[in-house]
Amino acid sequence: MIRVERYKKIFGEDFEIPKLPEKKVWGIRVNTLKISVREFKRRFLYKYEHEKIPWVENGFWVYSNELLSKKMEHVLGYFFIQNASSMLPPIILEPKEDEEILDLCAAPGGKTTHIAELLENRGLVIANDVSNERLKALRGNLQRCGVVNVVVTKAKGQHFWKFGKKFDKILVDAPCTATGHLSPRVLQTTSYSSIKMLSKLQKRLLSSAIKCLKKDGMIVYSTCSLEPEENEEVVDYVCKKFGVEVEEIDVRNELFLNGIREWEDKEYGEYVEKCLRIKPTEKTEGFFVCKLRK
Amino acid sequence: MQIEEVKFLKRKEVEKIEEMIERNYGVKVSLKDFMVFLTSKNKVKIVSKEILRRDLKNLPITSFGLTIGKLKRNNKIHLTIEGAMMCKDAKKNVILLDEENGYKFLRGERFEVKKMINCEKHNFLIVKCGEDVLGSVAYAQEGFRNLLPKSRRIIESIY
Repeated sequence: MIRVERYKKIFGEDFEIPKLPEKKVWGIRVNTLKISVREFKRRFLYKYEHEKIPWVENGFWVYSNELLSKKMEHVLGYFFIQNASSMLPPIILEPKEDEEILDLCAAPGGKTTHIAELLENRGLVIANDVSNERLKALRGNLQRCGVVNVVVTKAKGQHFWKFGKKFDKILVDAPCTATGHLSPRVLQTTSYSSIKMLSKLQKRLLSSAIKCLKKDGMIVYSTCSLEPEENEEVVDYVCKKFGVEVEEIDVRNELFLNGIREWEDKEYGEYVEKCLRIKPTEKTEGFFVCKLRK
Repeated sequence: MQIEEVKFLKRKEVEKIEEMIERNYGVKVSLKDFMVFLTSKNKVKIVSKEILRRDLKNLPITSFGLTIGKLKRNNKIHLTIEGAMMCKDAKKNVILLDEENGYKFLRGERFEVKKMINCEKHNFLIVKCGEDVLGSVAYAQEGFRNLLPKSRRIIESIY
């Protein structure tokens, strides 16, 4: 079990678990492959109290106790329900039509469909995951969102480099403890050994991605974990092992903090300060994202 | 899981599908910007043409492309939601539902039709609700058969 005191060391003594708001806050991304933001506002969004997510052109917070997943517009793929923090990695990746792009841990496809959308359904993205159940969800979301520029592969991410294919850009949204949700269930079931185990897997996944990357290529690494062992420690490990560099991220917001250099008895290279930590609030889950260059 | 065998269609074969859509729904749909292929189950799928320009050999591919419909007997096509959306300006074989019945359709329940536009029996009809295209139904002697796949239905939970 993880105690909130652990996070006071990261976010300061005044840090508390955000209270549940009166109205549920939904993060949604308008799927511009199917509908324009203007049209979506006219047909759907006007019915709800809402607010634009500052760092996403087509992202909104919707305040409602209704289940948005059961709305006609969701079934039809006009929008994707996704935490606001999770919309950052594809934006930082800045995918271009002529680039070879890999989404290494793609399911259930929130970020893959976002990349497809940023590419306006052009170019090609390889979306990989390992379990059949998760791939089913990925395929379902690709269909619902009307995506035509994604090829789905099934392989262990840590072995993907063995296929010999090189990419310009890779997204590694690694499996993690998900402590950024700060839900009582997650905090109760997360143990120090699970953090350690996942940290090991994340290092292997990121190492595999680096081996798949072309020279001068870019990796965006992200997790929805608050644990430094899953974040700065993983970045520090690959920087030292492979000589990759951490790049400055130019998307900014008051909720975005720098990566931390010291944690318990460990000290990381100063470059980890260029990573972004997103502070958990009522509207956003805690998140970590980093941009690496080979 | 291995990728199922697919057949990439030549332009002439794609034109036949476009003609089939026009004959059944009175609307011209152009698929020339995509690679069009058929699966072993006669599903019509489209994918970005970029797939031909990339070297994908050795990759453990399990699937690609967007399913727009399934070829049926007598030159008919059963369109998916996404295929039906491409025919949003259809002039025939269309039924219109109001919002309440649109939700009934999406839950897989019986629904009432507000208006039918040039519908022929023994064909697949496009279902519309206001400006939205919801999918398709089969129109048989005994009435409508909801063809919305279970994975796309709205499931009513007890919570």
